[in-house]
Amino acid sequence: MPRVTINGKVVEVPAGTSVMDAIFHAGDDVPLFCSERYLSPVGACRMCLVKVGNPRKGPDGNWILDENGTPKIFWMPKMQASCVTAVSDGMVVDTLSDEVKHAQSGMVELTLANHPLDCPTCDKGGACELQDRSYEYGLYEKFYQPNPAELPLYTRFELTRRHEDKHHPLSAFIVLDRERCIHCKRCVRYFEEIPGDEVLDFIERGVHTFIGTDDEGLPSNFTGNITDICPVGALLDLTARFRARNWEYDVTETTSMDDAAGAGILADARSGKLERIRAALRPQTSQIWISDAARFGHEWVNQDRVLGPLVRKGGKLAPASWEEAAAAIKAGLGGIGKAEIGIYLDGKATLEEGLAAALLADTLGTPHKDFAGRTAALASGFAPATFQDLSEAQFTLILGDPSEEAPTLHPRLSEYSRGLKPPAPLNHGIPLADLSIKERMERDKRRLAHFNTYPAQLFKWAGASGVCAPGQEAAVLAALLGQGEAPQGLADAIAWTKTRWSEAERAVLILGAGVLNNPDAAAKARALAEQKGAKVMAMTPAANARGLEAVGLYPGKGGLDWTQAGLKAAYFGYLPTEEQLQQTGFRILHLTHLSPLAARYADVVLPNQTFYEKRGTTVNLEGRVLELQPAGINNGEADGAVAALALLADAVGVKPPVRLLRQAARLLEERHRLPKPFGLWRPQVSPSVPSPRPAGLGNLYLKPSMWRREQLVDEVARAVRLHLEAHPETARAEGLLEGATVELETPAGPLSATVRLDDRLPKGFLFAPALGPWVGQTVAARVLVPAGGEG
Amino acid sequence: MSAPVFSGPIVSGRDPRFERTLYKHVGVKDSWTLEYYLSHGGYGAAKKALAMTPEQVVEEVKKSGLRGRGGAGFPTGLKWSFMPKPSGKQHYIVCNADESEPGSFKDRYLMEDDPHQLIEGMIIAGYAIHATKGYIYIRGEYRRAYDRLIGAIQEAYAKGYLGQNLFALGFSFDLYVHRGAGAYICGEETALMNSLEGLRANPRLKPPFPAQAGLWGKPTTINNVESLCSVVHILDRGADWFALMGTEKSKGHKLYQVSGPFKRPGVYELPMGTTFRELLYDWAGGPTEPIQAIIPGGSSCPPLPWNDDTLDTPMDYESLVAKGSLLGTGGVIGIPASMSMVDAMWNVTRFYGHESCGKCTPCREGVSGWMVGLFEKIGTGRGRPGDVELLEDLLDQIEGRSFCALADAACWPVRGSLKHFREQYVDLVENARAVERTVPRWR
Amino acid sequence: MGFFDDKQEWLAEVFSQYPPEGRRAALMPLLRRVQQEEGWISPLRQEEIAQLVGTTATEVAGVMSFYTYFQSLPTGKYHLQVCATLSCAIGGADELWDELVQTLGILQGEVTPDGLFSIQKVECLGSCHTAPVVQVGDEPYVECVTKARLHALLQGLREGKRLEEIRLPGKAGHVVHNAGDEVVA
Repeated sequence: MPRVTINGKVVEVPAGTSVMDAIFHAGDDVPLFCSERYLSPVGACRMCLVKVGNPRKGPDGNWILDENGTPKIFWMPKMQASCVTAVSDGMVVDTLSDEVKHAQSGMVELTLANHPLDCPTCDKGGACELQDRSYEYGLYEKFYQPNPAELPLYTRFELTRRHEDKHHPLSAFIVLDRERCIHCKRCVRYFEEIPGDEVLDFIERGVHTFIGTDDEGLPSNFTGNITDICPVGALLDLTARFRARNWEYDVTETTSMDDAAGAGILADARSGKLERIRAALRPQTSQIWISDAARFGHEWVNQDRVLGPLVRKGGKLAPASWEEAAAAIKAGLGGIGKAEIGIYLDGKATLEEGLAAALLADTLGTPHKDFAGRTAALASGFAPATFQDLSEAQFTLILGDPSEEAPTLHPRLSEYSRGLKPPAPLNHGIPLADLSIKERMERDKRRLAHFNTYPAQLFKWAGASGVCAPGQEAAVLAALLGQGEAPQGLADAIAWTKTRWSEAERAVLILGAGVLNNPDAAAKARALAEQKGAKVMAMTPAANARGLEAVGLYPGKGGLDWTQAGLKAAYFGYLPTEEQLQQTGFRILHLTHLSPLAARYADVVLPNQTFYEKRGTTVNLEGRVLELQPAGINNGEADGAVAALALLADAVGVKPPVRLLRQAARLLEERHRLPKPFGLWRPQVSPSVPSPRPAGLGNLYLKPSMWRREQLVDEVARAVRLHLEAHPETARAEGLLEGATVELETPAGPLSATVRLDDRLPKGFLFAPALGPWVGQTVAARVLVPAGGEG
Repeated sequence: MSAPVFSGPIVSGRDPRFERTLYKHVGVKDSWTLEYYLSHGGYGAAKKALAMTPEQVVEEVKKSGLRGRGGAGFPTGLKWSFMPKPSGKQHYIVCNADESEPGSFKDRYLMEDDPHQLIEGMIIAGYAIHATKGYIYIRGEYRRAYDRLIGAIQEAYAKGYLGQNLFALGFSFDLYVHRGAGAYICGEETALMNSLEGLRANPRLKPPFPAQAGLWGKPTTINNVESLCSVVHILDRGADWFALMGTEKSKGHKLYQVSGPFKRPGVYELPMGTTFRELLYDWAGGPTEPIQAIIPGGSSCPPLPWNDDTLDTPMDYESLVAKGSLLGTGGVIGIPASMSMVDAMWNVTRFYGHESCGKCTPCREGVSGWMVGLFEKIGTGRGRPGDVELLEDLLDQIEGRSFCALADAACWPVRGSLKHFREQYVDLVENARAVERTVPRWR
Repeated sequence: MGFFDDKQEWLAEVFSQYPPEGRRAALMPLLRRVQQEEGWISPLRQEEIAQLVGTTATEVAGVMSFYTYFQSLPTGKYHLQVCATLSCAIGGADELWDELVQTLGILQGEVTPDGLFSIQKVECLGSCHTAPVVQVGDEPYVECVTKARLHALLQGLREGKRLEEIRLPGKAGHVVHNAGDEVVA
């Protein structure tokens, strides 16, 4: 490894490391604006200029020595941008001389020249890289004001500052202040390199250059990340605008349960309200990228919460004490056999909650236990692939839609399609200027094949792709296994995929809920994977599917699963469908919000926590154990399932097997050998295959959406367009007109959607966003076309 | 002056041994046709080159001492030798015909009146670096040059001088013309490649150098029009013929350009090392009004005061560096005494400010923003004491710190003017006086 | 109807000049074609070009706005571009510009009411020895533009003459001094 001397300190760093990272690795500092982790270094801001020298070899092949007999250092005539200069053995770097300091302070002055001084009203204030670097490196006094008697000089720029659009909404969620932009180009590079949508670019040139888009509303589901990486307050999160100063936030690093990949998030709360979500650095999963749903869909948490227990009195739900709730449960369960009580958790429940539920079910002797979104074929039935496995795979086959089903995967697949390996951390963590990343890298389409029930975003990076009808996934897999004919129109794509699959030494299979909910397809997928020891990423609708399965939270013999109904009594950690509520005798709902449906059917409502408020662990689709930490959100008396289920146990007169979170954690460690956070957990899950989902119920296909029903409030409700999509022929048969607004009944509740026709969709199906755990299932369509509902 | 004695290297256009080659046919009726070109020995050099090995061609060009005529003066043969060995990858030869440096207009007539000369140069260069495809990136405004090039390329294809198996010597070569659309930065070779690829013409990071990963990531060499045309004559007459002209490190002939108030402004083909005096008096006919300074090689070169010392300076790379300036593209601009030096530099700064691509901070904020603003302030009589020092300080903050050389090119002329004509700046700021524009300049 | 719908052959010819991975290189030729024929490049055309070369309208706008030649606002039938850089400034480009503004009664960005003229100051056109220089649209330069020649040019254009048909007083075209021999081409 090259040895480099940084300000007199010798460090060893891997070949190809940037000088910038070598400086940080050595424990020194260098200012920067344009470099960002996981993005290509470009050397544009010129803040990181340093002096670089190298020894040279003479014609005799030996080092040229100086008068002291050590290799003579030949300094480069110009200072170099350390972010785009690679280290070499024997290199000497200086970041402390007056020459370097002068360059740094000069660049601060130039960067500030046209930057407005509106820090007091800027949301980035206090967390602004430009502010920080100005304080640290803007040494005006030292260089431009030698006379200490004079007042401090902060800039010599006295011309009129550039005036530009200060409130330019880029989308419903992001506002651009063009005056504050310092042209670091992080956002432009981000869109090209990470989501792969070139929807933002520089317009004009020279001092008139500004950021703009000609495409309406940033057509991407990964737009919010630019508000994190913007070094100044030019790109701001509109959902959090003017909510608080940065130092007032109560910042909690936790795990997003928005998908099964386990993205790291920072939940910023103030005065008991969740005001902002940002991406946390989590190299194992999300790196620094989260989906728009995970970022912007937080407003619902603060609204109309169930703050205490509610009990039905005289036909109406009324606030009650926990004791009254316990008494009501006891009364309601009277005469019902313990084995007839169902326990159903939400798919975002923690491992601790899952364990409490599974153990209580055992204690009660009930086979009726499950979690919402559990797939017909258990995710645990597949050998899980890690993101490391993905980056090392020569070929990846996707059946599903990662961008919507597990959006965290999309940026990782972007990394994969560019042939990049996740960077190795240095002393200071993830490299700030990873020279292996370049602008506009070619995407290697030979590494990816993609099939889905509709054209997915990531088809663009796949060498072969195709649309199959819902339910036809098994046929695609059969053809790949050589057990059947390829579905119509997919012969070429499947033939190519088959060859690539067999050629690849290491392969990864990514499966969506469409396959996982189809036992036949799932079995074939497993056969395909096992054929060559390929690992699988199962994009389960439930964020903690692997964890909840591992503690046994799925129906026992004769038990009803979460999609069925007909019990005398049940505890639901979420809002089930109206049909299920109707067919359940006594209904205990453990909810964060009271919907009209809950108000109508619940016998007892207990206040629940959102995942932002939970402490515990979850297991992502890699089998990785991840932590949840509670953010400072005011949720009244809300408590998690561990407490609610203990209450239930007490009410039916059994000793709750788990009463405390800590107890659950200890059991997990002792009985299940749960590793520490970030460790991989690969428990054996009993192979008993639960009852298959009844298929072919109807023609409404619930397609994945990164958004959940409950998130659709306020700005999100206005911004997220819901569509009922169909092939034009199918639409004609169903009497649906393009652009018409229709009302539909879905398991996630009633929706209002706009009809959109797409001739690439399979005929015979209607496509509606699932917005919840019923992803990838086909249900009977209940579409109401209001009279005159066009437009 | 006593009668000159001509011996040793050729350093004067009056030396009887000197013969014009590059511009020999410029201005002649129908000189741009293939028929005319062939009747004057056209494509002979290409045939000769294709009978040699590519390595021999590179060697010959190296031996001639030819340095890039686009302004930077990098040895052409050496540049070619950076190209990798053939490996099945497509190689590209690109001609930089984006002549946009103010004061430069030599390449224009090479393309307008002798397009086949350039095509022949492209074939030879393509052969030398194993490139079977070539692009001429021509500045968008050169309409006539574009039309003539397209015509010439069609003629060449029809005759089999382009396309498959040229001259039955086994080498195939396709040539295309790509038009720019008005951006000085496209003269920077990596920005040119971005522009050709249909991207914003921001310069690219180096490394990778174009020879490693250029156009569409493939090995690429970019040469100036004049360089490529010179190659034709080097191959035709031999490296020794070329090396006999010029000074020790600046070999060959060069197209010098004269603009400003001179009797005969235009393009002059002269040996390297010819003095300014010979160019400006003997060939360009001397000034038509008092001159205070010349910009020796296109607007990015620091101006030199109009005096005997300057006039007797040989026009080659080294002599001009020694004088604190640069040879650049050899485009000499005379600045009349009736125009304020500050006004001239304001114009030049505005040019660079307009042409800054906006990628890096010092150029965008420094050149395009602050320097232009400061010149406007001083030039309109709103300057204050201290502004000249501030300008000098700004130059220190910008020069050598930008992403590409454009910001440097903007700083050099201003710095040169401050070195020789500081009193003109001081006069304006001390007296809060605007630059005078009372002298009518338009005829 | 799209601008390029009836220009498929020309499109194929343009695309054939670049390798398959370089489809985007056709961006500038396509922009130029629209600019030449329509005098500006409307958002609709930008969208169409984006689709043809396989990129987004934003990228097209980014590229288009980078270059002086491409206009995002409609121009006159004759778009007069006046070089304003040093040699032309020494040759009187400022006065020429003022004359043009006064004669036509428009400023940069405007079009004469008859739709004939629009004007733009541009940077160095590369004809410093024949300063001052004016370029009409995408035509070869009008050089050594004296006051008389400017007015003859405007008159000729008003009469609907093609540029090469207009007789300008004084030197007829470009001047090259080929090492002593004055050549008038």
